[in-house]
Amino acid sequence: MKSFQYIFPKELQAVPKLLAEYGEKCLLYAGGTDALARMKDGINSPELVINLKKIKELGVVKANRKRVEIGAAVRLADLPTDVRVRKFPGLIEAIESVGTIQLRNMGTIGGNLNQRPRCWYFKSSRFPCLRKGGESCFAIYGENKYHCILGGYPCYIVHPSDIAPMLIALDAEVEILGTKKSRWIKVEDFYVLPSQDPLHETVLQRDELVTRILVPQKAGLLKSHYVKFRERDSFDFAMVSVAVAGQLNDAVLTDMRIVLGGVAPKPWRARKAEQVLEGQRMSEDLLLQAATEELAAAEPLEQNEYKVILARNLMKRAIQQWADAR
Amino acid sequence: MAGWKSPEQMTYVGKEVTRVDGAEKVSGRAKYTHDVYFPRMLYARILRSPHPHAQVISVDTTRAEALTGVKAVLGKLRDEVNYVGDEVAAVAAVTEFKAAEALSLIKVEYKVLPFVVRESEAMRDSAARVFSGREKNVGDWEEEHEGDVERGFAEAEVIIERTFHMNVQVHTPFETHGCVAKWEGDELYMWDSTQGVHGTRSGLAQHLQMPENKIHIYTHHMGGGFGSKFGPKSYNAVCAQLARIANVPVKLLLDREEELLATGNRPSSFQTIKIGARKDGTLTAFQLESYGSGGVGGGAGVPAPYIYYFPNWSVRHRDVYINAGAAAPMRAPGHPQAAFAMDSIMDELAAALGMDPLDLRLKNDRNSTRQQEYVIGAEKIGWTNRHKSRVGHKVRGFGMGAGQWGGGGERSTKAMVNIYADGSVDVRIGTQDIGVGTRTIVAAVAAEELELDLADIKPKIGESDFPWAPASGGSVTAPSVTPAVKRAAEKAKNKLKSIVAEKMGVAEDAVSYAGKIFSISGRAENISWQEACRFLEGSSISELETWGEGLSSWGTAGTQFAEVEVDIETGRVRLVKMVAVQDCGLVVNTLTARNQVNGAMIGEIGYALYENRLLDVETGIMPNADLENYKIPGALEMPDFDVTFFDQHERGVIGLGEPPAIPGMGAIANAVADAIGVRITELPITPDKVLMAIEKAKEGKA
Repeated sequence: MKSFQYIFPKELQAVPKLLAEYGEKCLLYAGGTDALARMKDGINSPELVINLKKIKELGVVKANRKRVEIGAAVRLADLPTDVRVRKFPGLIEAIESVGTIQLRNMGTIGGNLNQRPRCWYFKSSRFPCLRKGGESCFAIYGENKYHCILGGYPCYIVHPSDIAPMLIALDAEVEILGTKKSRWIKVEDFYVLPSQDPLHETVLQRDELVTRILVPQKAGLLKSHYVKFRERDSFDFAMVSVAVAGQLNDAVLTDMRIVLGGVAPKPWRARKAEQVLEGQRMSEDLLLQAATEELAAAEPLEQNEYKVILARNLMKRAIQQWADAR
Repeated sequence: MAGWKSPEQMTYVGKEVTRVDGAEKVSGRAKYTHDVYFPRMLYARILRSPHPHAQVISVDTTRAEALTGVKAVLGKLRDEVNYVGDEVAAVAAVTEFKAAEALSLIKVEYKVLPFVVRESEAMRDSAARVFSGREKNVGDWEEEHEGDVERGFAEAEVIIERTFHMNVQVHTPFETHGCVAKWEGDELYMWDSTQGVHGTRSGLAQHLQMPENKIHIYTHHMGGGFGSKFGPKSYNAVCAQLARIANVPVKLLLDREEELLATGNRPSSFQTIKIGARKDGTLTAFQLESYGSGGVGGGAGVPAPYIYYFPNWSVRHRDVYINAGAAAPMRAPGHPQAAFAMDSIMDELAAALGMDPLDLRLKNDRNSTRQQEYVIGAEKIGWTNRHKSRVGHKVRGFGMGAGQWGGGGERSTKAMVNIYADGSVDVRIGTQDIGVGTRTIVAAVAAEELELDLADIKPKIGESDFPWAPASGGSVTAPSVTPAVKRAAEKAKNKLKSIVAEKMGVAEDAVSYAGKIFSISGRAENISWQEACRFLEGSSISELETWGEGLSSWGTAGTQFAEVEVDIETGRVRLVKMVAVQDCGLVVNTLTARNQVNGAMIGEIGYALYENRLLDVETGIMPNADLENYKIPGALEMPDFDVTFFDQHERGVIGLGEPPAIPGMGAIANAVADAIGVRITELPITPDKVLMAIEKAKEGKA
C-alpha cells in the first residue's frame, strides 16, 4: 500500500469538489470492508482517501409519506432493527444475507451498492484485466465457475450486491450528488453492463457519489422476499440470488418484479419472467416456464453451465417461498 | 521400569484434562511467533516471481537499497524460478509497508520461459518443461504387484473400472509461516512457527554453515502446521541472513497469499482403478494406474490397494511435475487420496453386487480392530435403519470409509525432569505444541508418575536447547514424548526416594512413595513430598531419560460414517452427522484426543466439499489465493460430530494426528452418491458438480 492523505470532511458539498479534482486518484471510504481490501491488494492506490463517516446527513434514516430515505453511510447492521425499514421484509432479508456479522457491523448500504466486483481476475493485481484498463478478460478461457451467464461480453463479472437486486424489485431510487447538481435515478438504471462501460459498474460520473437510497412507501404494500444461494453459509457471495416483489391475490400474481443476483454484471431484472407470470395463477409449471424463458438467453462459459439450472431452480423456489410467506 | 497403570487407576492420563495453557491462549497472553517483538526490530518481505517459469537474468536492488528505512537486502536468491511465488529477493526495513515498497523498487530482468500447470498436459512429450534442462516432466514409474492380476480378473464375476480425481488441498494453518531472527554475537536466536525445533536448528546450521550449539529455536505457541512446517524452510535462512546484515532483530511473516502459493500442499491424484470380485463379494483383483502432482515437488503416490484384502493386485504410479508450489507432507500423506478412491469404488462394487457396502467391507477387511469398529460406527450412524429420506427437494444419504496409520514413537526422544528443593517440578523436552495439546500431556504424564497435582508441574517445551524430541508430524509426538517423560519422572522420583533413604538411614527398598507421601517400612513416621524435597538443600534433582519400550505402540485402524443432506435443486451438500470410531491405544487425554479427531473431520469436510487450489491455465497464477476464494468450511458448515475411541489401552500410547484425517472423504462421497444416485468422482463435491451430475443423469434416463 502506498502512502496517502486521509481526510474526514464534515460537509457533504466538499466531496464532489474533491472527486472532481482527484478523480481516480481518490477513494471514498465508509465501512472500508471493500475499499481497504482493494487498497491492500493494490487494485486502488489512491493519493487521497475521503472518509465519509463524519458527514451527518449520510448517516441517518428518514421517512415521509412517500418514501423511506436511507443515508448512504448507514451501517448495514443498523437497518434490520429500524421500524421504517422493517416495512420491506425482503430488504431486511437481503441486508441480513450480506457477508458476515462482522462485515455488516462495518459495511454501509452505499458501500454495498458501490462495491467493486469479486471476480478474482479483477481483484488480483497480478492480472491486467479489461476492467482494470487491460486488454482482455481472463475469465473467458480461465477459471470461470463464478462468472456471469447473462449480459457478459466483453467482461464477465457478476455484480456482488445482495441489496441492489432487492432495491430494484422494490422500485427504489438512489440520490446522486455532483458538483453542479443532485439527481435521482432508479437503482435499476444505476448499473451498467460491460458492453456500455467495461471499466465501471455504475453510471456515476467522476464528481458524483451516492448520498441516499430512496425506497417508495408503496413498496411496503407488496410482498417481498430475497433468497440467496451460496456455496458456504459461513461466508460467501451469492452464486445466484433472487429478489421477488409483487402481489398475490387468490393465487393470482400481479405487479411482479423479479431481480437476479450472481448471474450478470449488473443486478438482472427478469423482465421476461415477470411477463410470463403477470396476471397468471401460481403453479410450479408456470414458475418453471417463467424461469426457463428468462434464462433462454443465457450464454454460460465453460465452467458455469450449472448456473442456468441453479438460477431456474432458485427462481422457482424464491417465488414459492414468497407466495407461502404470510 | 513400570508400564502404564490401567486407566481407572490413573488420575490424569486417560482422563479429560483441560489445556494447561488454555487461559493463556484465550486471554491473548500466549506469545506466538507473530507476537514476538523487539525494539528496533525490522520487518522483512520476500520478492516472489510473478512468472510460473523464468530465468532470472539479473536482480538490481540499487533503488531499494537507497530507500530510506531499508536496512538489508538480499538479491538474486535463484537463477531459475519455477512457479508463481518462487523466491527472488528479500529486504528488511523499518516497517512492513516500507519493505513492500522496497520490493517494488527491485528491478528484476526475467527471461520468461514456457510453463505448464495441467497434469494431463505436462505428461505429454510436447509439453513445456517445468525445469529447464530436464528431459521430461514425469518421474519414473513406480510399480508393485502381488499374485496374478490377470488370473484375479479372470476369476471375477463382476469387474468395475472408474477414474477418480482429487484436488490439491493447501494446509492453511491460521498462523502463517514466519519467524523472528535475532543475533547476539555469533549466536542465532530464532522464534519460528515450526513443527520441529530440533530439525530447524540442525538444518539451519548446515545452511548457514555454523555449529548447532550456536542456534536456538523457540516455538512456545503455534497456530497449526498440518505438515507444512517441517523446518527449516528457505524463509528461515533469509530472515537469519537479513538480521545478520542489519545487525538488529528481523521479523519475517508470510502473508496469506504466500502461504497459499509457496508453503506446501497436498498433491493432486488421478487414479484409474479396476476392481474384480465374485458374486458373493470376495475380492479377487485390483489394478491401479495413477499419477498426480506435487507441483515442483513430488510425493503424489498413494498406498494401494488400500486396506481391503486382494489376493492379486498391481499398482503403478508416476509423479508429474507442473509449475506450481511444491507439495509438503500433509496429514497422512497419500492415505486420504488412496482411501477416497478405494472406498468410492468399493461402494460402486457393492451397488453392482447388490450388497450392503458395510457387508462388503466386513467380508474383505482382515483387520480385527476395524471389524469391530465398523459395527460400532454403523450403530452410531443408524446404518441398518437408514433409509433414503426425502423431504421436498432435500435427500439424505449415508456412506462410510476406513483408514490405517502407523504412529509409533521415536526411540531417541529424551526428557529431563527437575525436582527443586521447594517441591516444585519442571519437565523439559524439546517437543512443540503445534496446537494439539502436547504441553498438557507432558504435564499430565509427569503429574501422574510423580503423583502430584497438575499445577505442581511446569511443562517446558518448544525450545531446541531442551532434550531432543522429534518433529511433530506423522502422529509420532504422543508415543515419543509420553514414554520419555514418564521414564524421566520415574527416574527423578527414584532419585528422590534414594535421597530420603539416605537421610533416614534405611535401605532404598525400604522407602515407598504414594500420594505425595514417602513411607518407611517398619516405621510409623511419614515424610511428605515437600519435606523430602527440602533434603535437597537448595540443590535439585535433574534426571534425563530416553524413550523406552513397552509404553507405546504402532498401528491404528479407524472408520468414519457420514450422513449428508443434498439439496437437489441447488446441488448443495450439507453434512448432518459424522461418526468416527478410532483406536489409538491408550488415550492420553480424552479431551484433546476428541479435539484432534474433530479437527481432522473438519479438514476432511473442507477437502471433500470446499477446498480447491486452482491454477489459471493461461498465466499459471493461482486465482483463488485468499481465504475468500480458497474456501475452508466455517462454523455453519459443521455437522454433529460423534467420536468413539476404540479402547486398546493395553497397547500403550499411539499417535492420533493422521488417522482420523483419512476415512472421511470416501464416507462423504459415498453418502452423496447414496443420496442422489449418481457418483461424483472428483473432489471437492461442489454444487456445480452435483447439479450437473443430476442433470446428466436425468438426460440419460429421458
